[in-house]
Amino acid sequence: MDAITILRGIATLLVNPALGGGGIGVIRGATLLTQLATLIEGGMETRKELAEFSKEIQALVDSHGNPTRGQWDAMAARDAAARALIEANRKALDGEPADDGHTVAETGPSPVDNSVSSTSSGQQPS
Amino acid sequence: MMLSRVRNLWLAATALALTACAGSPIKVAQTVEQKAYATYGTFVIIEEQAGKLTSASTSLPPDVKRQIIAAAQKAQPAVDTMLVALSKAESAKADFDAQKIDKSTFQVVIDNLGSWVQQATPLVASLVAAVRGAH
Repeated sequence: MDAITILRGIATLLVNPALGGGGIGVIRGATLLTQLATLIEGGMETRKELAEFSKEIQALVDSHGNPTRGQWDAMAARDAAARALIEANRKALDGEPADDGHTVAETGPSPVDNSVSSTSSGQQPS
Repeated sequence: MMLSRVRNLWLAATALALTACAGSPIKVAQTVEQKAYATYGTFVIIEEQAGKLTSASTSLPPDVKRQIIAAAQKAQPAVDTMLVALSKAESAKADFDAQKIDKSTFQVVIDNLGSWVQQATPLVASLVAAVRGAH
């Protein structure tokens, strides 16, 4: 069982009156724990991804090569998708209409089409 | 207080990821092109994480989500400018190979790319600090 699961488990126990949990202060604490678990999980995931990316860079260094067009294109596609997601999230938070003209509910699913580039800035060098 | 704690933990988690010195892509890179790619890739990975953390499915407070979004979007212009400089460097290399420009002109373009990489790198690495500043 990892730390994230433990944190989420504690948070669940804290809000369950049948298990002796509950109360405003306790529930706030449980909410905080849940959020912390989300953040730690995100940080660990990021670290793992960066480590993998470092290996990709190290391979370039070892071969005395530079990134290929395919590598740039793949990164640009990820960039465009991430920008679209962030912009959609921002609109949802601010209650602005999504691209389809419908207001996005903050608690609803993210209406992101990751295949669409949001800005020209995500373009790879030509 | 609560928002501050949540934000600080995100900062710590991301900082940990960025400062894992042995695994820092930017530190591993050697050539200007490799450094540009490492900087861009690091930015994209952090940007993707920001997208996940700020989605409606996470329970983070809206203010924290807004700070993360602002930090990610703040770093975008510098990265975009670096990509434009890279595009110019690639064109210049083709011109140099075709003997359309001399070595000194080509070097100026490469130096310009190096300058933009140097400017973008700390911005990406300090994405965490930008979140702190946005509060």
